[in-house]
Amino acid sequence: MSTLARLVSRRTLVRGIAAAAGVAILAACGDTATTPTTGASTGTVAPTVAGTGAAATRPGATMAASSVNATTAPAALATTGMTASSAVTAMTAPAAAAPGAVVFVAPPLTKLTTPSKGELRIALGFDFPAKLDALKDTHLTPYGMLETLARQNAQNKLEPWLAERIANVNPTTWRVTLRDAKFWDGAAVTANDVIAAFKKNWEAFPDLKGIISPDTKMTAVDARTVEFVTPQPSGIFPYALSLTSTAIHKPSMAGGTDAAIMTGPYKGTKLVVGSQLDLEPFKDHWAGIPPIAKITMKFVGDPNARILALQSGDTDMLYNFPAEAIKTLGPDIEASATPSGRGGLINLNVSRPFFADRAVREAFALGIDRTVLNSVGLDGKGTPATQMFPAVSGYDTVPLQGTDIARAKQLLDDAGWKPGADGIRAKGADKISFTILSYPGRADLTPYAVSMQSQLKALGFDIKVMEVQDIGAATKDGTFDAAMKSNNTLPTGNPLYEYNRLLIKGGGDNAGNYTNPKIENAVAQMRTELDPAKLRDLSLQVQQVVKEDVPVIFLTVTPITVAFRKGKIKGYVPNPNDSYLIDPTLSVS
Amino acid sequence: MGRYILSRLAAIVPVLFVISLLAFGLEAITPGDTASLLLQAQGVDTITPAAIALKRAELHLDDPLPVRYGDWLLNALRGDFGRSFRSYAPVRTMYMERIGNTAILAGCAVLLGAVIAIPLGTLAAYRRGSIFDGAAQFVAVLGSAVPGFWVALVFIFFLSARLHWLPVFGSPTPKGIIMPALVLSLSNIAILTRLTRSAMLDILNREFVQVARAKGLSPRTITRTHVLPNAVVPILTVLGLEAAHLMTGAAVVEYVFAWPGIGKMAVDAALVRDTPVIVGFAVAAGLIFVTVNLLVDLAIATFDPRVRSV
Repeated sequence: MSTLARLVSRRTLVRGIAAAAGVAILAACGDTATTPTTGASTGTVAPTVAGTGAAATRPGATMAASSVNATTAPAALATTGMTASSAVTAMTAPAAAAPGAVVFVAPPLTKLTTPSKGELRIALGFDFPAKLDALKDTHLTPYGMLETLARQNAQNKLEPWLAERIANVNPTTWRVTLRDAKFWDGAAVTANDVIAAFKKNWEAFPDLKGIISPDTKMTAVDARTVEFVTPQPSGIFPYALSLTSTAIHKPSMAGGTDAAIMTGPYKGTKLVVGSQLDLEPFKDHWAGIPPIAKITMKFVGDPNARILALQSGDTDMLYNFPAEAIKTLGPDIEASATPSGRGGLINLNVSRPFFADRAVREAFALGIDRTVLNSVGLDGKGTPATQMFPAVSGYDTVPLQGTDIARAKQLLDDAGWKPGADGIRAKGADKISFTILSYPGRADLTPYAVSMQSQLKALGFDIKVMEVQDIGAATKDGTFDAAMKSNNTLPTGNPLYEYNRLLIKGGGDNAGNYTNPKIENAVAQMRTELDPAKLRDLSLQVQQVVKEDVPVIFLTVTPITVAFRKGKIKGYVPNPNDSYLIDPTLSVS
Repeated sequence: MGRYILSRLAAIVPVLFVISLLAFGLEAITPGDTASLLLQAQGVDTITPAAIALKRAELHLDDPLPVRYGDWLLNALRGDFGRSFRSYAPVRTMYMERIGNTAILAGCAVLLGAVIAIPLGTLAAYRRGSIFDGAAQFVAVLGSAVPGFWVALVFIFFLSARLHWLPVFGSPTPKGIIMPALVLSLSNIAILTRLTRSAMLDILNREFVQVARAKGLSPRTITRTHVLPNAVVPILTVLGLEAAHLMTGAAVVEYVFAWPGIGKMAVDAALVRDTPVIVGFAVAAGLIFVTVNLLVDLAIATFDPRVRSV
């Protein structure tokens, strides 16, 4: 073999590994958001107003308002004219919410009795569990193994899940009534199991302490009722019960440190790390007998191989594959791309000289044609984002900057950023010349960055694009200019979660360490405020500041892509929250 | 010979020591934070400094590198190569579970390569300029120039998606191994065909072959007793190296065909900085190369008396 040929061969291998690396880092980057969605229950979310007996969809079809509404006793108190003190008094009646308090009630359940049948084979490119232990891997919820007390349904509304009722009996007290559920080992799920799981969750997931205070007092009111008393009123509490870090589990042996026994409808029977996961139905599940007799999931790194496997009949279902493949799938495949809560964004480091100027940040936001980004990154199957939260979230949103080149130029001119001989805008010694960091874990991000590089050249921005494997490490020291990120904006189904991590100093996704007293103030109030009208106003205030200050630029809403052989799968309902794929509504024919 | 084998086996120890040291060191200086990458891989949505600190403490990542290496080495000497940072499974078990799959795949690919390439290369040498020679050259160029993953996808497209003859996903079954082994053997076929052809040509032009011809020996006898034993040495050497290479470098093919082998596992581990698995792979790869080389040397010694006398 010639040296040249050998070199080509080696280079090909290296390129192949790099491609493989790209695919695998998808897995590495996966957060709960990247994971498959579900056949969510189609039941209604039912925050009801206790005492009225009526299932009340919360006032305002809008999300920001509704999400807070449901959590808040005072909200309901206002509707009935009750006072907080009367609510406290009413709370003393055990197992009953105060009249007027908001209650989440699980949708009516018809137990499944038909014996399990058939096999479902799914090919996945990422988000594969590495260990069947809820404290070591949070990828177990999408696969029907791990359950939380509450979850978001397909309309992004919170509904009790392993719980059947979540009631706010006074501003700091939440009473959670469990379903008549069992663990995989046959033991009943009790209030004490929930308390034990929460204690372990706080230890294993330190971030959870910032969402639900570890000082929250937990009491087993009876075998199936847990009372949580938070140190301060907490509007996000019931929503946090849908985070996978608050899931309910128990160790495989009494006193063990693992969390291998779960409650989901399917239990793992075989896990070959990074390769295959087999599931079997848990026949004592609270929803009845799970419909599918065997589920086999294969991790297939190459997206083309996954698609060909569906076409050849070697797999029945694909989840989250490149949207541009939909048109090539053929007539016997049913495919869909539905909006998710996930989207691409850019974090700007406002301590950089050019980004310290608000005009430059706003001009950046105005100079982007998001339709082009949607086209280059998502084959047009996503949605351009001109708001913080996608429409599917249902939250109230403030419209953010769209494309307006003329205004962008005007802003820059007015702020003194003039084009130099090389076309690059500068002000004194500072040039608008910067690097956008991207990472391959989300395939759409680098194409966005490259597209923005050429789009903004016309505006006088000199942009370089650099792809790194670990975006967290690359932005850690705060010396970056701008960094791409893909975020699921819907975990918990409450906008406060996103504000906390993206806009607050020290927030996990606040890479540029941005801080603004107005936002800090508004978010601090949101954390303890229970009045829905005020919460809605505060949420809109935060977004208004984001619009004015532009610390983050929102780009697109990513679709969830699903494909399966026609007639093979029944009951699949896309869930924008991207955290549920397999549940008892899913069956095969 | 026994002493020779023993001395070669003894040489494995320092080789593996150096390999493990290098793997540990290189892994430590690679950019990127292990804890942060692992948390991402475990599905943690927002990575905070508190979560990173907890993960680093759990994995002893804040211990000085020499301490971490020393601990690893002491355990490795007892046969314990640690546990994966990601799956918490013992590294040795992870490799033992998969090495068989990789060995089957590499073995089939090497066999396929030898069965196709050696006759083709020999024919090309004997019939220089003929259609066989042209075919050999074509195969050699094609096998080297065409990327394996592309060929894999083309095979899957035609043989699985269109004709439904073979399964897309590879498995250690007669039907499941055909495509992965064939794709993996392509570069091997290319190398071996070229090598066999040139080795045979070289020997066919040697004086001793001409003398044999002059003595009136039949072409078959000349090939069997003079040409092949001489040509087999370089062929065996390359075949052995290729076998070791395929055992450790089949990651791409393993990816496309979802084959649960050690190459794919090592790439996955590298992407999340799963140090114990990466170092385990380096040691396993070193062991495979050294062992295969030894076996090749022993095989060569049976053909070449000069090697035996060393």
